[in-house]
Amino acid sequence: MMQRILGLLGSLRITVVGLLLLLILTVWGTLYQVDFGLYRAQERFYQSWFLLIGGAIPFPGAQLVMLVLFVNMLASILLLALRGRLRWGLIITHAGLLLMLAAGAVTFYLGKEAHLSLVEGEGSNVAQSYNEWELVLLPSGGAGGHQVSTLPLRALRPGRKIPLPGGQHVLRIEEVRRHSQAVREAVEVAPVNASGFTGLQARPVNKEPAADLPGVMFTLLENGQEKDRYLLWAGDAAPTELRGDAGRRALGLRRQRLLLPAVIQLLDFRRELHPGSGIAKSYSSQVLVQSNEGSERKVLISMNKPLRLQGFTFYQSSFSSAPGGREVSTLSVVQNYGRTMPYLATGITVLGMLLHFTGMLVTRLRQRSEGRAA
Amino acid sequence: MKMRWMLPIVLVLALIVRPAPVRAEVDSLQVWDHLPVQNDGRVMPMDSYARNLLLGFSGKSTFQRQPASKWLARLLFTPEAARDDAIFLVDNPEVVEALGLSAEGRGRYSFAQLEPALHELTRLARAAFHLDDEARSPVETELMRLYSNLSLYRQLSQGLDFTVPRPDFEVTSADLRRDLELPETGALTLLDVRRQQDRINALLKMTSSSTAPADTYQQELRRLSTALRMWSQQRGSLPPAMIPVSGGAEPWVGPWDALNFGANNEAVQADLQALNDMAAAFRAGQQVAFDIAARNLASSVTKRGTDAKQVRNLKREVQYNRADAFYRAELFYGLAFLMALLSVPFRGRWLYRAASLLVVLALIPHSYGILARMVIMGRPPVTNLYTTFIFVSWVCVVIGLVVEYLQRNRMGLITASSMGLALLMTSARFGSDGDTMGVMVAVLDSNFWLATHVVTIAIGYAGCCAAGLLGHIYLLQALRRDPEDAALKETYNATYGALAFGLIFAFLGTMLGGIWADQSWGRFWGWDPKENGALVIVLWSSILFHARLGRMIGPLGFAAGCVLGVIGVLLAWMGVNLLAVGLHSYGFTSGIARGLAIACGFELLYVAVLAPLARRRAQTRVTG
Repeated sequence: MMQRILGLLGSLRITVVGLLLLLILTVWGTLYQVDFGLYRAQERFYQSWFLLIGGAIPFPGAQLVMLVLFVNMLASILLLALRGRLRWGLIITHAGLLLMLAAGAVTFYLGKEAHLSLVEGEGSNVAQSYNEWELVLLPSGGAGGHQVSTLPLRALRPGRKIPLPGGQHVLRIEEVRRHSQAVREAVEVAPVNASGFTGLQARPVNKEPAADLPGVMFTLLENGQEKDRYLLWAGDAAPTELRGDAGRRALGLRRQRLLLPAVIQLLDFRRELHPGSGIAKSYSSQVLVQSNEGSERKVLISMNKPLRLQGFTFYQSSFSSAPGGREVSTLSVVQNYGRTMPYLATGITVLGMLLHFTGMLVTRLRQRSEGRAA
Repeated sequence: MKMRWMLPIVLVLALIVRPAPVRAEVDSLQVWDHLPVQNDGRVMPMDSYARNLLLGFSGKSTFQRQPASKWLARLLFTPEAARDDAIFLVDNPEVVEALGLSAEGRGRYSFAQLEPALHELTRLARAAFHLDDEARSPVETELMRLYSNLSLYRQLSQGLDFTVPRPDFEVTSADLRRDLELPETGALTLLDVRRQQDRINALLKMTSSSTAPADTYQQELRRLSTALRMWSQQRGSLPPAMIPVSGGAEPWVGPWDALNFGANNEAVQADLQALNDMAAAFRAGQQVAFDIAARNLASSVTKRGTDAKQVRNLKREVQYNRADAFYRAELFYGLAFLMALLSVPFRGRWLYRAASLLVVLALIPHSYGILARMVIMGRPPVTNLYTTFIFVSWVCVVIGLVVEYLQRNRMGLITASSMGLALLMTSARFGSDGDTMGVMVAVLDSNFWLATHVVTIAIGYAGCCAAGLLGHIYLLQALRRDPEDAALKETYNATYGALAFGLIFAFLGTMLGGIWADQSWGRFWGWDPKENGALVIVLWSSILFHARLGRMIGPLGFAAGCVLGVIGVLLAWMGVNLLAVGLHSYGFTSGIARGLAIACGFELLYVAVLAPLARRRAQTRVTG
């Protein structure tokens, strides 16, 4: 029975169809990104479970296809093992691929990416995301403690109710726009907003999502009763205070933050050109890493030589100039528990392939020489 | 003719096919070719500098059957004489029209012919520059390219013109010549006069106080002083960058900048004087004087600006340029291919042996070319698109030879010789836009990853290409043979093996690329076009193997799949670069886009026509 199920799940037909679907998605997504940008292509084809062609016809997304392939591969090796057909080359190859897919999942679901732009001399232990935004609740005007709560923008949907700490207040989300322009138009009842904006206009999303400014409109409920409407925009000058809130808190939209395990201070950014040309030879940032325990050390971060610190990795990403001529170095920061898994998975898979195909070659050669001898 | 003699005759012919010897007034440019020039971030010999320039202007690296360095010497030392050299390739007849030139259409024009249209060209090129890459038409891109070439040409023609006699610096007054310690007769260059700058200033001061009416002496004195000032003001930042000022990794300067700012530097002054002497000797056709001055310049410059390794590499690079190794390899591969093909119907032993020997012989210059480049650049074999073709073709040849060794049925030879020839010929297309030994940009500047990821993926491409070619052979063979035929099965085995080899390396290469990306940018996989291209190759090959294993396709389907796989390789290799530029932009890439489309179309057609025919044959044999 088990073998029957495994046989179905592990069928080669599923494999071929799955691989073909993945191939189609790869090609399609590549062409899509020419016009819509890499980020949107990733969202639509590779990070989704399914996509709609022309808004109506469903087509599997890469997440679904990869899950199916994962199950398919697992079933096929289990079947081989159950049947006692220990073809090690195949088993090892597919074990490696399973690990690879798992690594992808870990990276995608658990990984965090952000960037840190520092002017020479500046230091910080907080990195910012390029594309992801969050709703942040903080004490208004800096009063009181530093109790800050955040909620990713992705979690907001029209109609969703979000309770605030304290139990009394609930946000009922009305509108969420990924890319918007806030306007100051005359309306009957103006929503509460720190900058005096009264409405949100939708804008077409950019190829580079870092330029998209989201906006949110919600109604505040106090003890179940509807109070004011609020508008929050990414370009607000300051967080918007909640009216009638005993805790004197404010809400705002900001790029998602990633807390770093140490303060990184940029000592010096250096750009070397190949002599007599405009071609960059190397970029490097000399930084001072001040850990929370108080120790300090100098590290040079350059292209192809990142800094690894407690599960975080810092890469030299880009640079620019601040007004006044000081140089600004941008480091990209990644927190990824599954970072080393692909390395291991590659080695295992290649070993498996070598075993499998070499075995076939040896068998073929032996057959041929036996054939000749006969 | 007896077959026995073919091989020696062919070999002799191949050995004597080489470019025509240099004919020049200054006979030998041996020293000139080795002079170092700093360009695009590296120190290269004048020979390479000249070849790259001429390639960029005219699409060829020789002019009137003479080496590029000869043309460059003429341009630098005798700019007036070079005005009529037809070196500017104008590919697009619309460009000719737009510039209002006499309608000669597509062809090579001289600077003299293009000069009247310079104003209009500048205007059009500036307008085109402000457009987005995607909005530019092919004509506009070509106009910009031509403008940039002509600007560079003009700069070069002025680069050494302080060594060219000019009327501004003519001195007829014998007294003045004597006072300025100039030679009694002969034309004078700016440099000749400038060396006496102090004396001129002193004399001017003396004579300005006198109230006598200006005579020739004074007029000429004043003219010299004014001319010196004007010329220096108008000339600056001109190529070639052949004078190192302070050594080390400091940028080198062009001769004019050295002249204007190097007054206190004795060594620089000596270099400029050497250039002056070289120019005079060149104009007078005096080989010995030219060489002596050039040697002085070379030793002075290399002592200040290069280290021993760079000097050795200058020699190696000139040697490499002159060897034209890949062209020779192409010739051998071409002949080998012809013989291998002929040996199929004419089953002569000697044709087979000749073909085998030729392939092995071709590998010699082919390998020399790759190794020489590695030594000169200090890099692994693949550093840019041009070198991918050179290297992939080498691996294909090796794979073909291995297949031949195992099977001895000429299929391996055909694979080796055809892939060697085809890919080397394609490489020429990609090697024509400038320095093929260019420096690496920061993010790619890692010998470790270049040696691992890039080389591995190139080997993977080679395997898939070899499998593709063997697939072509299979489909042809299947038209005339039964599926059970032993030779057909051998071809299938070779195809299978080549694809397996290709898959292992393509997979490994793709994953190494991910690891490199992780080390460099923080993410292993980002679904970007280059990564996706490699993945497509891996996925397609996997599909073929799994479909075969599951008996969803037979050997014929597998072979057809390998042929289609070549499309994947081509698109990943070259097509992705087109995407990066923008699918809607043309220019130099239009040639590539068209070539790519033709190649892919051909493969599709090949499969669409031959596969059904072969299948029908197999079926009728079974049922019949």
